[in-house]
Amino acid sequence: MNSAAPYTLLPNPRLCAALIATIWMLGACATPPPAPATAPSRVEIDGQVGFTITEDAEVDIEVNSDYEQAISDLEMGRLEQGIARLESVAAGTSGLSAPRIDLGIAYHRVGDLDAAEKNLLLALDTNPEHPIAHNELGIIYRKTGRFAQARQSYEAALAIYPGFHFARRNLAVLCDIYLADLDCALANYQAYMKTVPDDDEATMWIADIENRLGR
Amino acid sequence: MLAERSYQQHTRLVLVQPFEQSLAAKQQSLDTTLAELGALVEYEVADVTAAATFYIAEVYLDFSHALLDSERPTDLNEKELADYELMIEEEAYPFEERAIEVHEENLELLTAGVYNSWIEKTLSQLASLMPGRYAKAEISSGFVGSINSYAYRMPIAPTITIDPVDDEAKPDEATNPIEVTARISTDAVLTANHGATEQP
Repeated sequence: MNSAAPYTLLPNPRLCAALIATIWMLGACATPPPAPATAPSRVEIDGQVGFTITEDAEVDIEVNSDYEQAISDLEMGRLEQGIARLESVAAGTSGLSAPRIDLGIAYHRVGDLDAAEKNLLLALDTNPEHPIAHNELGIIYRKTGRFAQARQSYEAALAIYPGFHFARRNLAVLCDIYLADLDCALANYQAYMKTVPDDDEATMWIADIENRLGR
Repeated sequence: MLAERSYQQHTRLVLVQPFEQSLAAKQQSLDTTLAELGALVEYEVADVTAAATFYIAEVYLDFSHALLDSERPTDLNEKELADYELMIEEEAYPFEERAIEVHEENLELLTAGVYNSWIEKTLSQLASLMPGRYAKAEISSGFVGSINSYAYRMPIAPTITIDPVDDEAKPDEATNPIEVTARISTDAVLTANHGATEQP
């Protein structure tokens, strides 16, 4: 009879507790694997209605919660807090464009145009087919005097979805004021009005341009 | 900066009674300041030109404001004062018009690839003086708000709403049970899209 066997097979309560604690701590401390470098994305166009962009990546529930909290901070005007939280989220989700786009918008709001541009370019590296990133980058380019690049950005957004009214209006304003291209401005204001027909301001702008063009 | 100093000196002169005397001094200052600023434009250095042109426009605008804010005579009756106000406004208006023209000339530097803080200031002034033409800001779509998806709907996009069907329109439930409970409406409705200008 092997007298030692029962002893060695029986769990040592202290050792067992330590092991459980260690495993629990490892589990609690483990960070979820970051999303792949670039998550596969789909743009679904729905004719005259709009579009939906989906990036296929598993997102840890805590990361998603942090993201939502960051957006809440930003929307409540707690910009510094929201940016700090978003930076953390973006660092762990390099395959997703939304955190970078939102960082771009947030940095723009605090006046850090360099950081805004950097984040929007990172977003476009991840998903070159994101109209929001193109539109926001267009605004940054315009504000920094790079009008040709601004135009390219708005046009890139519109190439994905011609009815994206944010980019359409911004392209019209760019042509109107900064490029002095009134034909371009008129064409784009008119296209914009097809998506936002009750914009009284834009109606007035069109009338003014037609007057200046002698039409 | 020289342009700014010339401008500041000019703006310190206010129009007080006796009006003719202070007006003569202000007019002389106007001519001198415009000549100094015009000389800066002749350097043909983009940033200097933009700054000097900005201040030329502002000198005209200041003159317009100085007229409107000038001290009124105290010896006028009600009707005479009303006529005086009208006359002052008529005299001030061309200076504001000239200010707008000069600011617009400054804006033309954009087409030559000049974009600096002076052009931004000019644009800001034009947006204030002629908001219908120049107060046009870009619009942002706002935050994405969802970590791995984004749905955009045009403001005019039709949406599906389910309206209760009134009794009179109620079809035969046995033959068409779906229409008994719902009706598709494609009226244009508000579409929430993170800051979009919405339809009523």
